[in-house]
Amino acid sequence: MIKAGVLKNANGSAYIEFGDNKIMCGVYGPRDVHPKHMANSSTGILRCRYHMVPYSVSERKNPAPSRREIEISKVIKEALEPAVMLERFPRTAVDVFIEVLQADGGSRCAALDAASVALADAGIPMRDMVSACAAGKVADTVVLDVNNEEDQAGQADMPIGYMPNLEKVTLLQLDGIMSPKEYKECIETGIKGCKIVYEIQKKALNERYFGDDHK
Amino acid sequence: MQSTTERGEVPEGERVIPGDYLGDGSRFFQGRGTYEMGGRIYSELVGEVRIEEHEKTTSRSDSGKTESGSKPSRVISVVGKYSLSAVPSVGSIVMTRVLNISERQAKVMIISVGTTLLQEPLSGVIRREDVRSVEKDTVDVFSSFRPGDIIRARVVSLGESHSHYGLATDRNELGVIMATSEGGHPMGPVSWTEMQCSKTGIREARKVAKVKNAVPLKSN
Repeated sequence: MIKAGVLKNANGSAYIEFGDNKIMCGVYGPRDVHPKHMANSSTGILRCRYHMVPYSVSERKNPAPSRREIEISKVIKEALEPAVMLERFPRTAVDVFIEVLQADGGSRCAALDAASVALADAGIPMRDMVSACAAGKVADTVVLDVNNEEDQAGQADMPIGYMPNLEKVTLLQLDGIMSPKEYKECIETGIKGCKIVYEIQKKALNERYFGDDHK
Repeated sequence: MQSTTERGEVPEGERVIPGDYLGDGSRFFQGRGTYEMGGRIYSELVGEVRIEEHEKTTSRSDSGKTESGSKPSRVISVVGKYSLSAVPSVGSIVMTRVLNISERQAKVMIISVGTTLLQEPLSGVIRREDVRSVEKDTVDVFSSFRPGDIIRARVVSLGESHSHYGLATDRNELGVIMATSEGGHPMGPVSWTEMQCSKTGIREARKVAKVKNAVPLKSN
């Protein structure tokens, strides 16, 4: 389930529930960059912060950014950059803030799905949506969207970010071991999952803007 | 599923999101809210499709034109449900509010570009030499602007990455539009260089903009 336009103060926002993941995303921009030395005179910049609240996991997570959160922030930013038309807004920044309220495996994909919807909700021109889903290998079988328990016990986790109309991959990570054949199968399965998520993103934007489930 | 014609084009009024294919570049000009890649036109916004007849022009338009083969005659655009904040370009007319002034310049906050209100204000600078077009070096910033004034200005430079938008009020229609007197009451224009408090009649020096249809306050 994705709902667009949920935050009063953000330029664009989205809330996603994906399995047991519950994630909120707020987008601001294009806006002035502070500190000024970070501004790029020929293009806008994208900044992304992925953060988990302390009660998002069963053992309290320290609010300070962990290495994992820093990695995911970078990965999500790089997955969104090919889609956002930053060159339209030189000397400005688009800020994406992701707060994970409850995490259960595959949260980076869910976060990326929410971020895409929030960016579109903000009216920021994009080449395409970015839809993400994770494929994985559990008990020697290629599966789609592993949850936390399956990830702990499983053999591989492959988050994939995909632009459905342009048919391009913007995020690809693999944590685990698999054969080349399994790898190919995993990517294909993941992309199928991304296309399913795309329909949900589309629905969220349609509901927000046209007030009905048009498609 | 989106309704489409046999060629896969979308009809007028169709609701689209970023990335949705709209039509072929040989059949349409790309309008606002769309972009073109590999000869195909896609939406870049959430909104509705508009198709309009294109006025025939002999010169190159920036929406692109095919030279030979089928000539596109219609412009396809996407009207966003929610118009994005405009970004000023050189020559844009902007409305600003003065934040602070110094001997050499006035720092302002840009509130709107043309008729579009900005979602997030941007910062700009009006240098002493850009306040008016004559006698540029004898300008006294303190007699031209005061903090809190609303000023219409034009963008002269986008600045390097470390500086703000450079603005100028060097035309008759640019300058102070609204101001409050030192007593806190609104002031109206009386001449190019003075405004008068509506309550006390006291005049204060400003670089006044000549606004069309504005009626200057009658002096007592």
